[in-house]
Amino acid sequence: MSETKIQKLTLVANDGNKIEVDRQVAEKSVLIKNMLDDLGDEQMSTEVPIPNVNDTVLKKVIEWCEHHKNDPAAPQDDDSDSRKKTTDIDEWDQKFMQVDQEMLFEIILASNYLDIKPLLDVGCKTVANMIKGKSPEEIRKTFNITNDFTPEEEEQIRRENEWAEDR
Amino acid sequence: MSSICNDLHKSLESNMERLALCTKDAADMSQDLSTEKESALIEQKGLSSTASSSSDQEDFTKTEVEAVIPFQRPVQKGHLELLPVELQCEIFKYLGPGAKRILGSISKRMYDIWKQDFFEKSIRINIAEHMLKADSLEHVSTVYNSILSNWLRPKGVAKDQKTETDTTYGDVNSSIHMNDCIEDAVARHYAAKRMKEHGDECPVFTKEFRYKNVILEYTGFRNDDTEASWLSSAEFGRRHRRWQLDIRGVDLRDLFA
Repeated sequence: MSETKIQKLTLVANDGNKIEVDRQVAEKSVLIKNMLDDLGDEQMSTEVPIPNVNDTVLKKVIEWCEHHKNDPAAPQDDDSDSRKKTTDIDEWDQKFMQVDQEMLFEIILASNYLDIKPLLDVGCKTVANMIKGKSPEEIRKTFNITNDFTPEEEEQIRRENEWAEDR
Repeated sequence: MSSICNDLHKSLESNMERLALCTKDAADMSQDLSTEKESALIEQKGLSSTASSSSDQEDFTKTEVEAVIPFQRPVQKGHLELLPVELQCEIFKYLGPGAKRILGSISKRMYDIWKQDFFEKSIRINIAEHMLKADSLEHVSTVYNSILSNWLRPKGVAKDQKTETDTTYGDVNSSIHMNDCIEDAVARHYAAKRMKEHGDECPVFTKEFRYKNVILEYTGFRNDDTEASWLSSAEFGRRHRRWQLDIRGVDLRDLFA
């Protein structure tokens, strides 16, 4: 029996919308790749449900996968030396990430769920770059965060961040 | 055997009932105490709880109100706060030590992550974080600059130098002004950056200066001539003409403002 590999997949977003993609593109997602590997082409339906991602976000993620489909597999990060992590983002990715905050965080969540590490990295780097160079109050304002410390906790933080004049 | 089991079961049930009663009593007592406190506060102010007008209520100071009403942490709505912890940790990892500390001081949740995974008693800053303005990152704020400048007050004497991969201290004086340390770090920061742009490779090390509870860290490259880990920026530039430093574009006074 000749084995014919599925070349096209239909991803079904959580709102029921279907998006057809090349297998190579879909396999940027480790979740989908593993699913295909585990089930085998014969048992695998060409429709793959993606229950945690809506149509708009899924289209955006696929756009990223299309652009990066020929990228070599990224080497495994050595998390032990996180201090050396760079926040450089290539120009195309920078433009890709110029979206509103809701979409940015939806992309981060979707890439985490679909296990697309390079996209997750770009998303986290984008957020990190939005944090860099800002004071605590400015970060709160940027991300709509309420200062929820008790007075005692605030005092502790003030002490921890104090330049030790007399120490 | 079964009678022992029954006895135990009965005893357990009776204990559970007593515990439930105690819990209820404790809850009632706590409520009473709270009400008593409120009444006392109202009495102290010479107000009747029923007759108090809205203008009278404004007489309570914030501290007095806080003393009576238990603190309730507000519910966060921002997307960053609502991310799963492991993703928040990922974002932390892309920040320098100074920015990690700043992010850790915006909310309880961020503080808990910082405290658990990235806490360091000393205030650590990477020179690149202090160079953001010079590196023309658009949104660097003046408040951010003043926070870092405050941590890196360029006065006093730096001591206790140590390096992670380079253990030579030959040229290190016992007393070096923080200004000089920052200037040296800036120079090496630019040199390393330029070398990277040229695609050159050289022995790189991470070096740090400590001054009281502040640590300034930076990556530079080792001087192979003397194996020394310290050179003034002028000396550094003279010895490494190939990567002649161009710090003219940077007004070092900005760093100390």
